[in-house]
Amino acid sequence: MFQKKRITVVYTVSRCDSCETDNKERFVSGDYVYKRFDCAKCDGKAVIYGIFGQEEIVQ
Amino acid sequence: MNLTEFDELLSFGDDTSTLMMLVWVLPLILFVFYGQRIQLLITSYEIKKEIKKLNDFGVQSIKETLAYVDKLPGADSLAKQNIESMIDYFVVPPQDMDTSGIVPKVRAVLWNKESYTRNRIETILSQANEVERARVQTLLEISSTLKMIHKVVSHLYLTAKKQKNYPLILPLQMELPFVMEQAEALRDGMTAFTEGQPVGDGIGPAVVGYMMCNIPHKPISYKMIYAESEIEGRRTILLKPKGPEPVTGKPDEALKSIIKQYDIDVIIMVDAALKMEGEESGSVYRGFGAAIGGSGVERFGIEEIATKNNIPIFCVVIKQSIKESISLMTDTIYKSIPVSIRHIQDTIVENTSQDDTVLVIGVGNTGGVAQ
Repeated sequence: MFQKKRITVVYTVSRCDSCETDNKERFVSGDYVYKRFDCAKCDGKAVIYGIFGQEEIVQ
Repeated sequence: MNLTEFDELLSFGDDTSTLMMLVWVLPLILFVFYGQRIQLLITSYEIKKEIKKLNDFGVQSIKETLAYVDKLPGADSLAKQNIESMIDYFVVPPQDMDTSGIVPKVRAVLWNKESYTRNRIETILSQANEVERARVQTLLEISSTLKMIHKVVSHLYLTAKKQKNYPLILPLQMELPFVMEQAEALRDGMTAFTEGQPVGDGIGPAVVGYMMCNIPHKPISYKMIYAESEIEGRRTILLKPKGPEPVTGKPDEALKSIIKQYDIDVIIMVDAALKMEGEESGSVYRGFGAAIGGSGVERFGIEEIATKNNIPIFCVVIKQSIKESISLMTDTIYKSIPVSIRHIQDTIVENTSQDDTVLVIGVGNTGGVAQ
């Protein structure tokens, strides 16, 4: 009934060196690799280490 | 009519039957005299479909470029019109009857086109920032290439058809799947450049950018930056194009400046390389020589400086398909960053001593990859 299809989802991988938190989130316009931003969990700075596309199957 | 009568009519087994002779001889004559034309018709149909696709790619890419321009500050209809007129810019390659001294001529022509386009975009879109203008330039380059591919393929097809010359269409038929692969990759790459996402070719700058992270860096030559670091006790100069704008910079010019400042003992170049069929995407290999694509001008410059100063060049390459190199970076390619760094460290340890200075160059389009 529902056809499955492959789509490419763009993710960003970031890490905060202060609280050692790794994050994998959906890409948001304005993101770029090695962008520094305020960590949501501590006062430290997090860095985006990678932006890549991953194929996913959706209905 | 029963089966026996049918058998008699065609006289299976009897070669002298007139009807049977016509059935065999007519197609034979047809193929002897009109075989090439029939093949031309069949091949033409297939090629025509691909030409239509190429035309659509070209039209779509221009639309996307103008849609991106439309979103930029200060972009009015005149600005869009001026940008669109730049799609048809072309380069006349220098005369190569006497190949001696041709590299500076090619460099001058390409640089002239590059700097003129950049300045023109800056004038038209004066309110946009540097990154946005660099994106427009890249999008223009892609649209222009797609349009040119369509023009060349159409020309070859129409010439063969006009001359009714089947052999003329054969090279086109053989090359078309590769051309289509490249055109599809360019079309897919448009979105990545518009959104400011890294492409597969950006893996070289991504590797060096990772090594540069949290180290202060300085600009050197056109759109290139460098940082001083230490790897395994060796002074290491890290060089890459300045991101996140989609540029490749001028690594040869940067090398010229770095050689004046440092006594370089070894050069290591990190770049994306086209994989062969059967090879895994994202696999990392080590090699010798200047790993850098493009027009060949930069490669010539780097090789010349390295030879003059007796500096060995090593390279670390990350394998990928043509499609992967110009479209959004895949997770497989992204995962090759730590492996590439390990290869760089191994190359440094194996080929240098403690007091040596190493230069690591990240080569490729640094769109979406800062430092």
